[in-house]
Amino acid sequence: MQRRLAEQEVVATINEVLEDYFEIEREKLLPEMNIFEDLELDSLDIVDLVVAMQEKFGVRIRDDERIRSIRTLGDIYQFVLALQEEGFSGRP
Amino acid sequence: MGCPARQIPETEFTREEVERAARGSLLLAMEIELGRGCGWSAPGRRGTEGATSEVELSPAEVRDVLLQARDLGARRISLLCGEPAGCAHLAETIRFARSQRLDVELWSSGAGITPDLAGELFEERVRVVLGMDSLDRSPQEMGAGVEGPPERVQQALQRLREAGYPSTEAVLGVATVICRHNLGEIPSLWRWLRDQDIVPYLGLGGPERSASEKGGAPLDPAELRELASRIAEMERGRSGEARDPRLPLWRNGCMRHRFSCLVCWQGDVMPCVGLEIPIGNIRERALRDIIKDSEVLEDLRDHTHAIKGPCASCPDAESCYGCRGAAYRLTGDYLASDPWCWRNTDRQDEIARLPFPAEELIPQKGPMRLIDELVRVGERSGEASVTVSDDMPFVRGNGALDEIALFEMMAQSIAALNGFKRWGGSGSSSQGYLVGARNFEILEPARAGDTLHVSFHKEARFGNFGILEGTVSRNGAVLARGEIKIWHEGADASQAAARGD
Repeated sequence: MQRRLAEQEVVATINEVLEDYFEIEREKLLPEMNIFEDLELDSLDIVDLVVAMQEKFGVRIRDDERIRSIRTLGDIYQFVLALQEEGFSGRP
Repeated sequence: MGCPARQIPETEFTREEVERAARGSLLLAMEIELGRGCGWSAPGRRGTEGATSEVELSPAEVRDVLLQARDLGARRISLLCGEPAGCAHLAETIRFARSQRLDVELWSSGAGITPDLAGELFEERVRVVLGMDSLDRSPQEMGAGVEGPPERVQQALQRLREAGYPSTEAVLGVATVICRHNLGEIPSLWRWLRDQDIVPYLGLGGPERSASEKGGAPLDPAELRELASRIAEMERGRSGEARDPRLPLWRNGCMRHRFSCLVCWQGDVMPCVGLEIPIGNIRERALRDIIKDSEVLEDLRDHTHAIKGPCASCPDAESCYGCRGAAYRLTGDYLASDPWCWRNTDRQDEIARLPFPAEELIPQKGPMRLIDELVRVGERSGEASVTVSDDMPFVRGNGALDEIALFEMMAQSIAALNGFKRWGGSGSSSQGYLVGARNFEILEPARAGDTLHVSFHKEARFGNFGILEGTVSRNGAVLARGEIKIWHEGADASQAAARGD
């Protein structure tokens, strides 16, 4: 089972994904940023983001309803932290 | 209290339990192979082709997967151990399983069942099932792949009897694979077993088992029906119980994929011994996630919507979907109707078989259809083939195929799989759109005259979107690969919603 990451590590990893995959400037990666209006992600980008998070965190997100209520970058941080708490595992 | 063998046990799980397991992606039972060295595969197993590893599960890994199965609700563990003498940790595994309050079944050829082991099996109340395909003849007389020899099994039976089998709590069974050479003997074998208070388990092996190396013809569904009817009549005379004859007779229909799975000796998980499609490996993922995420199991849990062909309209469709192993082996499609069911004898032309022409599966016509056939379906995966013709629109004057065609081939292959899953169904086909690609590499060009194989694997699904990894290869060499994103019109999402996912 993938080890539990500290909150700072989760935040750093998600920010790294957004910088590398979506080429978003680091200065914009603030928790209060709206991912659609401020970070200019669209619905197709959200699919890629889900896939990237599955790979980075070793989780299966499936069709989690909570994804649909995500609006800010902070919501994404909290979502991934919640997944960890719920004990999703990707590897033994 | 009578011996349970006096009544043939069907599944010991109630319909409600099975439905609850299916809805929750849980287990009631699990089969596990205890090592390749045991030397016996469950009836019809083809061996290690396609295995992800050659390393056997360790005793610790076996214990861990038993615990995972228990946590998913499993109450019964079937240990597939052909030759107990070759399975060093068999007794330890049984004791561990029993300590976790799991009922244990041991499927074995009988070799190596010593008096001491027989005694321990009885003490632990293990249900023992020995493989034997004939009472009278040796496997050498019957042909390769036939279980026996009778002498070994008879010795094992004797030792088990001396240990106390059969009894109310320690059931003894014999598993027989029906083939050309023992077909006529089955009724007398059945009668003999029942007279001994031994539970008969009749099964159908793959096409290679139904015939023989001596040139025996494959079994005919009508012959199977005659056999099942004879046995049902014998049972009616014995117990007074009327039974609709249906194979496999030990459970009068098999829907095990709704509550069980098989863990192979190297950790691959498969739906069952007959349906050899790896759906994951327990060394890579938790059993819970493998079962929940498996598209094959998801389809079989939703069998009334997913099964295709004449089985879908059978009056017994709620409680039977035939032998999925037979369907897969004979058609290449795990959702096909069972070709061996005698109810389908006159409806074979309604059963789709792979390879299947793409022109019947995708809307693209004429020169814009860039694939010829769907050739394989698997766990979240599939494969199509095409021979590049000179008059294909993307072939340049020098015979080279434009790179964009490879991308389109992947998309059409995915569409072909979706079309195949719905082939013969009553609903209209849903539409899909190619909406993006990432990390797409062209390694080598394709040319007119090339036969290409386009394979793909569904990596992720979110809402109506899907992410797939695709490759185009020629003679095993990869020409192109990449990730493509599709949007699929509501079908999967709406079905998932209807199922309460």
